[in-house]
Amino acid sequence: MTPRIAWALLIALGLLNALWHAQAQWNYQRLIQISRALELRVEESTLEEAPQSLQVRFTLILTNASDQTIPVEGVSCLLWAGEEFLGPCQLPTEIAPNVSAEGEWRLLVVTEVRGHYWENYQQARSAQSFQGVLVRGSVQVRLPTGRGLLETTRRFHTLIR
Amino acid sequence: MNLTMRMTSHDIGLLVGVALWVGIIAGLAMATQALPLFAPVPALVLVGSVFLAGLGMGSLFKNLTQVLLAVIFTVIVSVLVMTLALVYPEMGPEALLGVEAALAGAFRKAILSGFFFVLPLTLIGALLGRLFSRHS
Repeated sequence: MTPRIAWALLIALGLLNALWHAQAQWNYQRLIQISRALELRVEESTLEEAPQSLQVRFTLILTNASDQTIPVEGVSCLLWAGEEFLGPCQLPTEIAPNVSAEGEWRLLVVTEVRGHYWENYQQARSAQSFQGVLVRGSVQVRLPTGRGLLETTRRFHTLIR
Repeated sequence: MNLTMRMTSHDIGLLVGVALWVGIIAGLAMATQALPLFAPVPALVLVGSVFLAGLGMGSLFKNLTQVLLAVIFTVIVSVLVMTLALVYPEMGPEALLGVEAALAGAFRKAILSGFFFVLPLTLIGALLGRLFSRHS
């Protein structure tokens, strides 16, 4: 290898590596910005008691303030009344597959608590420490990394009285 | 050691300049490799670029002492560059970690990358580069 070729190689490698590193840093900063632009909250939550069942109703709202459409992979949640387990949430069969850029994603979740879960609820309700039904869950979203998508989870919990 | 003493100011300038430049290349490549989810190219390309830089560096020196000195200097520079490159994003208001935590983590990564990647890659590359240079 002649010195001229060696110098050309070193200059090219220097420029390429500077470019690649700048791109990686930009992708990283963008992921942080998008991540911070997502906000998950629970609204319109109600409990409706019937003679043999309990209806737990709430709306999950994921707000996306970024200019990037974010795919939603899935939702899961569980219901609790104190120490008593009231079962998993009954999620709608059709869930919007993504949150549009500068948009909002809403999911109305209505769960009927019946059978032995209803008995668990009655048992918890009779206790003095009963405060309400606790909903704990998560929404899985995929954030762009520049090379692909990174699956992350947004957790939520709320106490419905 | 005698060979070192015979180096002219031109040789020393060349050694420092080349080692500094290759150190920057290696430091940036290793810092990019430390962000695997965000790097625009695969890790193998980044590792390969460090090896190629070593190859280019080796072909610019006349003797083995210069090559070895350049490799050592390259490793030191690459550790500093990689540490700075990884800490830099944690300096602004968007920082996720504190600067101290980021600095400690980045320095540890840089030391490990320096000894396990930059040192062997540039050393082997430079020795091969010197061989090619001799045969051409």
